[in-house]
Amino acid sequence: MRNIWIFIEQKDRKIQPVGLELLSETKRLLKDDVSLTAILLTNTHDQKDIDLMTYCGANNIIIVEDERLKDYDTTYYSHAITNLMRDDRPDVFLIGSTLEGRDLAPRISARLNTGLTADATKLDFELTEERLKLFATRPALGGNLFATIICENTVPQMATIRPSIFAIEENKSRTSKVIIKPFEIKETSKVQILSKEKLAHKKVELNKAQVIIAGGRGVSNMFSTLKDLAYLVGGEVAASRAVVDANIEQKDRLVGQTGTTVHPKVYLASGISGAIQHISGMDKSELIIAVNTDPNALIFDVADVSIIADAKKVLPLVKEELKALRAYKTH
Amino acid sequence: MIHIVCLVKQVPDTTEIKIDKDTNTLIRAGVKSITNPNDLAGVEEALKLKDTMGAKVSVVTMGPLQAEGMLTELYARGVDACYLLSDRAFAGSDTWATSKILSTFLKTLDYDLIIAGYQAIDGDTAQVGPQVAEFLNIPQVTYLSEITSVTKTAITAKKRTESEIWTLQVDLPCLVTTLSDMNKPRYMNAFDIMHNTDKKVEIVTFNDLDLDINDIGLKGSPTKVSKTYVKQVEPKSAKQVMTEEDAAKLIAKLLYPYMEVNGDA
Repeated sequence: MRNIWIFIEQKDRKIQPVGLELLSETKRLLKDDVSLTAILLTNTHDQKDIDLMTYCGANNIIIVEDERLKDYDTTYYSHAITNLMRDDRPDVFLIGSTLEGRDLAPRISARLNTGLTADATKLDFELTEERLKLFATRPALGGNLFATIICENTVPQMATIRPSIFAIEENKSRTSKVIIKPFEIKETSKVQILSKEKLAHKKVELNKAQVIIAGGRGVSNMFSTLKDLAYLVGGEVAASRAVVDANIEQKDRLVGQTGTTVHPKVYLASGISGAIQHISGMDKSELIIAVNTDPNALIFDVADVSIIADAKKVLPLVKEELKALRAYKTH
Repeated sequence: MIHIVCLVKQVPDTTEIKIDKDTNTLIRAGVKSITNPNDLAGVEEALKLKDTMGAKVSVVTMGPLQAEGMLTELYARGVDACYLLSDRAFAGSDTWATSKILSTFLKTLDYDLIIAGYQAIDGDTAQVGPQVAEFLNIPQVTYLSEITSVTKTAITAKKRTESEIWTLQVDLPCLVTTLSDMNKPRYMNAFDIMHNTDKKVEIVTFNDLDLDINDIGLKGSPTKVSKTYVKQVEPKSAKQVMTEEDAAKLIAKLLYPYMEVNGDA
């Protein structure tokens, strides 16, 4: 059976979501037609880690356990992986496109003399008797162009894949085989961690927010739910004129001609009719989602996703959905 | 005196690239070439070390002959030696093949510290730095925010992770990759322009290097572009009447990529 290896990143003993996202996506695309192996490098592990990888689709789990693998180190991590590939290389090797993954993957691809696609956002596979072929699609030239990259003559076909693109999907009836390996290396890393400090968390301002959860008259009694949503996605709450005039929100939350002009990645307009003065302050947003009960609301003219529904009922459900999804991210 | 080698790439200014809406193709004509911003920060970091502790600073680039103009400007900022690896045989190289060519040349230099930009704005791969380090069998530190000290045998540097800053000590020789916001590149100065007019860019071709032709160019590249397409401008969507549950699922899916892992709500 053809096989895919997936690198499972851990930070401070916590499995990071991207590895589970990649397991879930490859399982979705290829079902049981290929063998999925999760690779975890760590100083120690527990049953919860194994369960997570298993439920997300890993048929095999290889854990290399050693005190030197506690924190990421380019030399130790790359050798731990290429040691595993000495006898048998997988057809495909996928790594999350995190800062760690993008430090590690090129080092491995150079050592194994194989091709690596950077920061892919879409995966496709072609499975035949002879081989498993990976098509990794990535944005290029500042996002103006998309390119699908293949690696035809060498294995493993490698790619780093952007986090948070694919949803995590667990199935608790799945089982896996676990192999625990020691770490053998002669050389000592020439990189030494002297100290670590946490990055300070900065307060986001409305015009700097990536995600804005905005509410209008239709949800004027729901702003605590809006705030919960904004918190979950690391965004900010904004309001329409009607809400600010009613003293429900402060003026610094006002979007529009008389307030702030914003251009976030996502603008969720809930219960906002879309007066011109409001639209002029947010129509440059990358993705506009509008929820309104009135099918003739002007906001739908600028929205990328137009949903006719009662925002008052939808928002609490969105919060529940996100909290369920977040459970994966906090494992 | 230590020898610092900076890896630099000339790139199209991607912020100026526009899409022809009629043909759905990129308009490249008239787009100016610039020095890749992350690489320029690396050169500045090297020049700062030259100012403070004395160092020889060399710059290496691979690309068409037009990149000579960029290197001449770097001389005017105070760089000591510039090399342009240029040959038709290099064209079409992917990151593996590019790193092969660069590292083969770097082996002919006596370097202590190699500084490369974290990634180039036309490719965004961040792969050439680590691949060069692997081919040279030297340690690497990527995503540097600061070089705090340099001695004859080691450097101390700060590296960013998603949530922390790590202070690291790395033995020389090593390779580091830099970010454009770590410093503000200096202007060309009159003194260096005057004193460097006689400095020539050294052109290095395939024949000058101990390279296998099968390892480079389009043919030597393990990856191939199977197809490219221009980003489609999504049409504004039709209005959808949905149940509250379906609407919530759709919105949650669109917001999911931005979700933060800390805190409670």
